[in-house]
Amino acid sequence: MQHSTLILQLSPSSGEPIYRQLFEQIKRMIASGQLNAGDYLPSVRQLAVELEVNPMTISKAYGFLESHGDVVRMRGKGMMIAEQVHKESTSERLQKLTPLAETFIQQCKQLDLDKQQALDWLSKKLEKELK
Amino acid sequence: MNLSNMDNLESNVLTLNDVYKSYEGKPVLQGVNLTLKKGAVMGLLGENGSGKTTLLKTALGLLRPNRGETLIFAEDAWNMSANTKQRLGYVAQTLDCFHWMTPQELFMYTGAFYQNWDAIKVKSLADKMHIDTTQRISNMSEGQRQQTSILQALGHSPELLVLDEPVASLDPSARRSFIKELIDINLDEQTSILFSTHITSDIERAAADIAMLKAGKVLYQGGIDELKEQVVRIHIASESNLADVSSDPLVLKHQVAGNTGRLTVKGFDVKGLDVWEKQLNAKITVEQLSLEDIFLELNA
Repeated sequence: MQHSTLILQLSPSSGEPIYRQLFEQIKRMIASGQLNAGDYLPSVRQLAVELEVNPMTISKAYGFLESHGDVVRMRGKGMMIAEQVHKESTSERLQKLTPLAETFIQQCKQLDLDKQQALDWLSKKLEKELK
Repeated sequence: MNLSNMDNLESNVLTLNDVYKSYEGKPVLQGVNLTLKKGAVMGLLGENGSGKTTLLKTALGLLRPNRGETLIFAEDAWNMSANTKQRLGYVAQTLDCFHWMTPQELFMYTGAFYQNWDAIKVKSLADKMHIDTTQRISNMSEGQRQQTSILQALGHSPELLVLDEPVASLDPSARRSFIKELIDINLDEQTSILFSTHITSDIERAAADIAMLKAGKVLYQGGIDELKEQVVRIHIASESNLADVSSDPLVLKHQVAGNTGRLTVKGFDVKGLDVWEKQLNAKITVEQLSLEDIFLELNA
């Protein structure tokens, strides 16, 4: 049984509840194929110590993933990524960026930036960070 | 009393029912209701002078309430048995006695009062916190003294640990390792923990539950995550002028100008959003708030 090491980032002082941040990040890792069916999530204890957050918060995120069918609780072994989950297509993954894109567009409008200006700036940013 | 009833009582480590406490006629606690569940870590958040220390001392039976009920492990806190005292650890705001002792001596002295004192554990925790246990307490910094008094409360592996502003005089890195320590203690021994602070970031990581105290009353008790989900700021952009919302009890703060509005609301449920949008003929965006923002809004 292989427990994965997850690189998760939390911002406890953001408005988004910590369990929600964990839930969304793990969902994205499943969508991108970083976590695959049959992989095990780290134990609640391990993640609580690593991320320095209350174990109940981790349990809650795991419980949420379970009730959404993303993971299955295996007796004595922990949480396993469910068999039916799979890496999602590019368009499915892009779809997940919609809320962020909407906020981005809205703020461009507020800042009086046109399409070309926003695109140029964004592609310069992406140049550095993405391959 | 049957067994399941006993279980139920024991599942709450602390209970305060409508507790009042005043000093020389000056009211401090004014009807506090609070429960701490077994194994939970709860942060008690309140501004200076809101009654945090009085609440903790009353809960532990160090102060006698004027009215109301305080239970600790299902026993009246004021008339607590010696047996129950062995199950508690309390860290006061300041360690202000025994300054002529060294931590080592302090631990030996304290340990004599407990049947299950674990000197080895205390020593290893002291090493982890980089506390020199052979120097006099009077020569230590405020932060080191605080850590010493935390160690003093852990030696008998209490089932309930109550800490009054435990990180107040610690630097950021010591704060962080203290939070880590709390999580470890909670994980290793299922210790229930209640700690007070006026700094929200201390609570966000370590605690899952929070109680907000204002002027001697608990404004909110429950999960931090739930609180963040139900207290939000909503931005409304409507086709028509917005109605007056100032009298709505769920609206904490509002700024409405013509057909746009910015409201801070409590009791928010994302499921009701569509209905609202239709009713107001508006586009609504929801902004989530940090615990600090929520605290300030609820405290206003």
